[in-house]
Amino acid sequence: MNIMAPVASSSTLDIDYLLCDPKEDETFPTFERRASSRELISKYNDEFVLKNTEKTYEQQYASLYFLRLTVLKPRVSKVAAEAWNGMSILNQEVKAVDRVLDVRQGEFCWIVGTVYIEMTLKPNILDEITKEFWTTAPISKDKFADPENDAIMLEDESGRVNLVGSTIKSELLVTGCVVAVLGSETTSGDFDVVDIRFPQLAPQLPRKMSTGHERKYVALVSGLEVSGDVHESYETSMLFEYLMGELGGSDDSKHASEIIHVIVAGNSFSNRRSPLSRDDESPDNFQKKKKKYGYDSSSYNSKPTEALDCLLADLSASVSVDIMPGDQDPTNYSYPQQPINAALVPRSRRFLGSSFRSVSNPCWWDIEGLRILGTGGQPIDDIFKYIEGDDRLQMMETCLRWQHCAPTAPDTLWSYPFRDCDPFILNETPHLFFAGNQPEFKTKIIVGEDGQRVRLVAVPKFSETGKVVLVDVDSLAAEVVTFALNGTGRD
Amino acid sequence: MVNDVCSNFLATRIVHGQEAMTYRLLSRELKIHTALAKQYLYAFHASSRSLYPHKVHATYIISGQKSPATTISGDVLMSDISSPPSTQPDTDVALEVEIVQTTFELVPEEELEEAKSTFRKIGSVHVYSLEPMRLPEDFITLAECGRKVRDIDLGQDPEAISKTYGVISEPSAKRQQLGQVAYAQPKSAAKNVQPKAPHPKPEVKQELSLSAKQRPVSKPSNKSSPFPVGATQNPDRLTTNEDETSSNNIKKQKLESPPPKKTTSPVMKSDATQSAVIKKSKSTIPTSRSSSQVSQELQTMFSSSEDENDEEEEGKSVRAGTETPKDVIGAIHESFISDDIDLSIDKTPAKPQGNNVKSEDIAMETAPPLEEPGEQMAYISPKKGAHRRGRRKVTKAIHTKDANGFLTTKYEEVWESYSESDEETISLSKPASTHSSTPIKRSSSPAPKKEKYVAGKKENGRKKKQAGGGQSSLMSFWNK
Repeated sequence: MNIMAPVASSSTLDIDYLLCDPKEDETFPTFERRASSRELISKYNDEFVLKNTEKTYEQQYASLYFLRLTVLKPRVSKVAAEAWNGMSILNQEVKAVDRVLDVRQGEFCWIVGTVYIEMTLKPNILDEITKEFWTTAPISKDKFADPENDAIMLEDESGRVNLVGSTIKSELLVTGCVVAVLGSETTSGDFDVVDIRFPQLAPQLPRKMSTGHERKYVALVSGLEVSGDVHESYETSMLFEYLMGELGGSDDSKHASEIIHVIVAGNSFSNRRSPLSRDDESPDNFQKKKKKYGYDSSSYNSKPTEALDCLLADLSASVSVDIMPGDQDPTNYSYPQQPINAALVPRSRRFLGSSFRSVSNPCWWDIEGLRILGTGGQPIDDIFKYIEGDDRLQMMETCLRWQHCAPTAPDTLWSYPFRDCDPFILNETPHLFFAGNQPEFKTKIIVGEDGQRVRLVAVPKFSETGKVVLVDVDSLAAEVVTFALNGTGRD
Repeated sequence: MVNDVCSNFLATRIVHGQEAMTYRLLSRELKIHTALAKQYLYAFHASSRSLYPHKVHATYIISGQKSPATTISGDVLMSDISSPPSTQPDTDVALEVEIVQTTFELVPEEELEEAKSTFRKIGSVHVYSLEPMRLPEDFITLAECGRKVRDIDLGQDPEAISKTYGVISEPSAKRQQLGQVAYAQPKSAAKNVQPKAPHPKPEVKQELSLSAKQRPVSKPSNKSSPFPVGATQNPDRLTTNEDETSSNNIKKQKLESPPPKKTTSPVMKSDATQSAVIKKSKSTIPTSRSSSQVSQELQTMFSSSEDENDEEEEGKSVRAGTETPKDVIGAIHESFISDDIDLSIDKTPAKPQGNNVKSEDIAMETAPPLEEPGEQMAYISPKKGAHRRGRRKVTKAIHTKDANGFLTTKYEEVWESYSESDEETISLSKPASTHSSTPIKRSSSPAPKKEKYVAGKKENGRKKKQAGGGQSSLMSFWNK
């Protein structure tokens, strides 16, 4: 049989070898993954994992902002001082003012504080209660941003000042980021911003390059949304066959064997309810239903967990896997999300301690010297609501420049009220920064002032795109593998 | 020859059985490499055109790079997979090298050629599955094959799977042999518990006998040691994980170190390690009858109070044991094992309880001998001559009326002598007085937890007992 690819001609031999009669003595290669180090950076991750005994909800969120400003203010000040000290505007030397409230009218100065954006469209508990009484139709809020009415303010321990000026409008700013602004106070009491500075990229550890020629990849996949029902998308099965090296020819298997680690970055479980359970929610049924204590199999759908467990257990035997929760997954909703309880995946958890881990969201890894910071995508999705446009990579990059991976927590991104530290502050710039569950695949490399190079990856939802991203541990090169059913992948 | 076997097999399954057959399922069924299975499928499909015209339909999978119809995010182009890893110029601009995009596409045979034309470069093509007729658009029929493959794979060693079928193996992957996970069927989950429940005692007995008679000297004593393997009895070194198996480990540890202070109530044990236990009861072979009887008795008699603190402390001692050379521990265990029957068991009381406990005890309106666990391991005294008798320290709650007419509760530590027969009668006549532990909770700070959980625990234990000897689930209690 003659299989000719339209363009490819050199590799027809390879293509054909599975489309011929089996030969008696033919042997097929079996690949093994290279042993490699896949550590979690406990220095950072320990702060994300909250112990039940230590969780308290008596404190206010203010301390989180205070801690953030305390840590980031010196860093921003350093950048700002380098840029602005000794500078004069209108024959007036620029000076630093320590507190926001100490700014004098007409004097050019720079101040450091936390940005707060007053947004009319931001969810407000009082509004919600009012609406409940007056039954106003809820406004759909894909975005909170409303450039006409939003007011950007800068606050520190002393107070708040309203920021105005064209510079400030053009910058990407969200509530919670710590910045330095240069300008002067106007007669109306606003602060007219001339220039703005971020903390910039935190220091980065040097990457150790491997000496061998073998490539090593980290696979990033998010939004598997395994439902376990009959109409489960078949791409998921193909993905797991690929990762296990069964799908395709020997080149494909070899390539798959170069994947040393798989990170399942959030929303692995489908949150679609079965039609049955939806019926149960109707008031009639609810009345009829006998009250049950404990496990109620009619209201709990175990299929997604069972199906995912089977897939992960298969995969864990073949490659090391980390599962990170996303906003749909069965763990806490507020950030940082705690690792999914391994009891939900009883088959996979047999690989705990070797090739299966349940990790927090966000999470830091050190894989063969490659420092990775990953989130399930919630911080980026939340920043998206603050700004116009949809440049996810820019948002990710700005996060790194703010030295904070979840600035909108705890304002609009629900978060635990930390008292002792702000775990989302980045003391280090990772080599790979990814956000899961993004609408489409995007990637780029950014370079910092001190030569930091970071690969940014917006990992698309697998359930919608069928895409998994591979990142080369040594070269930081990204690759995409797409799984498609007949026609669905064609553009 | 193999080919004939294979052809017959495929003809039976696809043409006569009207089943779909993926390369994976074929490789599992015939125990051959997946690549060979792909070839077999191709060969059978080719021959089926004459043998069974229009009765076999093929689905192909194409891998390769699609024609560059799309670019991703502006900075991405598709390129050859063999292009060397790029070195970008250190510019702030995101523009960088092309990004390799590989696509795997599943296509029915009718559209194979058309689909191939959309690829710029094809890496491989193979028959993915054969089926009696064209598959629906979502290829959902194939999921059934996946399930069958999983069922076949389930009982097998990952290493064997890798070797036989060509699955990429992960050197670090170590599966803990904890028995299979039996998923409860939806809708009958509550019922499912009951058939399982009647077996815990024999099961525990088997575990004990297994540990006593079959385990080699290198006895597990820390969390990374092997422990009795239910399904295979394979004394492989197992990398256990604290998080996951510490409960199991602790329990096993208890059972294996023969003079246990007290072992977990069989009832609760069955609850806590249900899945593991079920498997074991199926697969382990009861050995020594006499010793297992004794073990069972022990199990019953010691199924008194136990709480997390207990577990914790045991866990700690287990952890502490990691520093001890294994063979020493093994030897200790051996000596204990030989002494299995002649247990003399001491019980130490816990530190004085706070007010919480008192009030709870009053609230319970019963004054069972409240046995509080003390430090473990330290009181093991396998003396000869202490046959079937032992002394233990228990904390008893004594209720008295004080001068003001209030009911007061005092806790007194008493040493009491007991024998196994006494214990049995007690436990039989006063089912409510025995407390079982709740399923183990792991916590690093046992002390404050303890008091917190006492009430719930007792109640729990009582309820369990009331509900038919503890064999039924909580659900059945509520249903009454």
